[in-house]
Formats: sequence, structure tokens, C-alpha cells
Amino acid sequence: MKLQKWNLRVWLFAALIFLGCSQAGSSGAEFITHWGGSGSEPGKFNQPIGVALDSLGNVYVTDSGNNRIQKFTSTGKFLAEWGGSGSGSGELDRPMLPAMSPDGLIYVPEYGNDRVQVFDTDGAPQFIWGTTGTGLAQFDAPAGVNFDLRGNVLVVGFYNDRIQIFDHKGNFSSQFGAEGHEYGALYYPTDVAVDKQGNIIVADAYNHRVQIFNAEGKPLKSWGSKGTEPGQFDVANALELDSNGRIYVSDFYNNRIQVFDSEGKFLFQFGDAADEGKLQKPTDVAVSPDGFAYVVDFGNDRIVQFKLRR
Amino acid sequence: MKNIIIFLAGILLLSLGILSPIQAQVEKVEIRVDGLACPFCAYGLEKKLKKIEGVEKVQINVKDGIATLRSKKGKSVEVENLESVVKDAGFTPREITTTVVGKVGQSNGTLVFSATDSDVVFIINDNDEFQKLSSALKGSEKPVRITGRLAHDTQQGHQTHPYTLTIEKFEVI
Repeated sequence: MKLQKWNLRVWLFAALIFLGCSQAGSSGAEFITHWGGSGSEPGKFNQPIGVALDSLGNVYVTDSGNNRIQKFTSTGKFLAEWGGSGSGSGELDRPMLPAMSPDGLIYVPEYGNDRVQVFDTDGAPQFIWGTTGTGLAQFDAPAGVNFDLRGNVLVVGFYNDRIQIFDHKGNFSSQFGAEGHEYGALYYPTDVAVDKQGNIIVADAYNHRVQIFNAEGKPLKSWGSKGTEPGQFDVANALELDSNGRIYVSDFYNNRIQVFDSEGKFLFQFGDAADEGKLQKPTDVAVSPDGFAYVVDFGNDRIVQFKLRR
Repeated sequence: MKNIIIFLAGILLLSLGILSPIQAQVEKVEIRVDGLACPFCAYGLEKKLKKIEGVEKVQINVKDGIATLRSKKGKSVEVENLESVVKDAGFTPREITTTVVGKVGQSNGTLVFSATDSDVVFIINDNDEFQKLSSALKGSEKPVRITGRLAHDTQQGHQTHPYTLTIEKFEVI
């Protein structure tokens, strides 16, 4: 009888350990499908970098090696493409991490052209702003864009180590950030998001951390360091918020997406399971309101769709 | 030491006008760089390298970590700022391989390869290919295409023209 009780305790303990691991492990998302493959034909990719979703669930991918944007349905059916190499209106030079504006336009930072170009969802160019440089409203490799609660546009400067804020038409408003490794400084930042409180969350890529600033650019919180453990990063190069305020971080060299609560507590990770959804150097993630995550699997030239379990 | 002698001899002969003007064009440069797997870095480097004088096209091979620069037609890729541009882009440059077309000046078995349009003199290191090139030219001034390892060597005597070229292959055109 004593032996049976002891066995029961062992089993209960093992079950608790298992549950604990599954809570903090990689089971927070289930692989659904993938699409793409290497190439320049419609539906193929050459170094895809960024992804954004519209209100209908359509998926927009910056296909940077091909200097174009491709539009797909939520299940990966090809719908449209636009762009082409160049510096004219409608042309692109290394489009990076895009974002969909509250009024349904897609804002695209262009690394090569040092500008932000805006398209409607059919690919018609709307307007452009930005020139090369380090001055106000100038860019040196703009990597990511996003919007604050008022619809202002935040643009991340990779080489200028700063966030610039513009109105939705591209008129300069303010900026913050400086190169460094200390708290509040940035080192090759790549992406930005804004939470429901209006705080600005920055993928501080080569500091291997996430930093949260208030709307004026004052640092509020920071987490992450270089490493492979949960909560550590090896180039934190993109981030996304879901409707619950959870923060999804693309962890490039660790080949995974990590998910945190709004305070920076690690929740779970995905993309590292040995299945068809195994990621190789992810560069961006977008999350739909119905609980799907779309990850740019840069190393495999494809988009991978996951269903979030929680 | 031999390089120094070659260099000094080249400078002396050039200054005396004994060596004929040597027309060389840097057609192609390949730079091996650490950390190129990240596209944010790779595209950043691509952008910086495109701004180098004489560059028509830059290709970044992310998988192999190699940036390849090709010259504009009739122009020479300016190699003097290559390393600083790579460093400014956030990288440490490793091996640099270049393909140069020009006429080789020869004097007493000494070869000096000079890019007149960029004021860069390449000091050629002695190796088997160097000997083969000497034999192939037999003192002629035929144009040659040389592919070789470029190094920035600032040892004494190389401060003025600090680039050495170790020939890996050549083609007499």
C-alpha cells in the first residue's frame, strides 16, 4: 500500500513537471501550413523580411531580394504583387518591416532608398517621405514602422539608432534614442510597436533585448540579453502585439518566436519544434485577431502559419 | 623585406618615369565578412558599399558571408576605403579578393601593379603565380587580368601605398 502511494506521488509529480514544461515550453502554437519557396515567380520569395495583415486577414510580405510586395489570402493563395527595383514612385529598394495603418494603408520602410513609401492594399502608391542622412526626418536604413494610438507613424532607424515619430502624412514630430548598450540606449534597432497604454516597445536587435519607452521616449522597462534561454535573444529583430497585449518577439539566430506578457514575463515560444513549422532565422511575425501567427521564415524563403493555442 | 624592396623600387622607377604608365582597373572585389546572415546587416552593408566610388553593383551572398562589388563600365572600384566602409556598417572585414585588369610594369624582374585612376599601387607578393606571370610576360606590356588576395599592410615602407596583392590566378589578355 505504501508503495502504491509512493508511485502515485511520483506520477503526480511527473504530471506537474510535464504541465509546467508545457506552459513554459514550445507548445503555445501549432503548425498549420507554410507557403513560398525560393524564386522570383509569383508566390515565391527571395529573402522575405516582413509581414503585415489587413482587416480582412490578407497577408502582405516584403519580398526584399525581389524588391516587391506580395499579397496573399490568409491561407497563402497568391493575390497580387507590386514593386520592382528602383527609386521611383511604386518602386522599391530593400523593403523591410511593413505595417498596416489604422485607415488601411500599408507603410513600407525602404532600406536602400532611405524612405517610407505608402501603398493602398491593391498596390497603388500613395505618397513617400524621407531622404538619406542623420538629420530630422532623414533616414539611414529605416528598418521598421508602426503606429501609435493617435495614428502617428513611428520609424526605426537602424544605423541612426533612433525612433522618429511623424504624423500619418510623414510630417516630422519628434524623435528619441541614441547609440549605446546602457539602459535606454539602442544598438541597431529594427522594429517598434505601441501598446494600449501608448508605450513604445522597441526591438533593440543588437542589444539582444526588448525595451519599453513611454510616449516621450523615457525608458520604462527592458529585458533580454544574448543567449539561448527563454527570455534571452540572439538578435531580437522584430516584434508584434496581440489583442491581449502579449508581445511576440522574433529571435533570429535562435530560430524561434518568443511570447511575453506586457511586463516582459516569458510565456511560451514556438517555431523551434522538429516539424514542418521549424523556423530558420525568422525575421518578422504578425498575429491575426482570430489567433493565427504568420512568421517570415527568412532562411527557408517562406511564410509559416501557426495557430496560437492560448 | 622583399616587398619593401619591390615597393621602393617601384616608387623610384615610377618617380623617374622609367616604368611606363600602368593602366589598371579594379573590376571586381569580394569581401568575406562575419555576421552577414542577418538581412538587416547584409542590406545595410550592401547599401554602404554601393556608395563606394566606381561601384555599379553589389551582391551579398548571405549564406557564404561574401559581398561582391562590380565596377561601372570603364571605372575602377575604389579600394582605399573598403575596410572603413565595412567597419562603419558594423562588420569586421576578413579576406578581400580582387580582380584587376591592367598593364604590368616590369623592371629587373620586379612587378608593380598600379591603378592610376584611383592612385593605388598594389605591391605584388612573391609566389608561384608571380613567377609564372613573370615568365608569361617576358617583359612585354600585354594587359593582364589578375585575381588575388588584397591585404592592407601598413608595415614600414608601405604607408604610402599599403595594399599588397597575392596572385591566385592570372590571364594575359
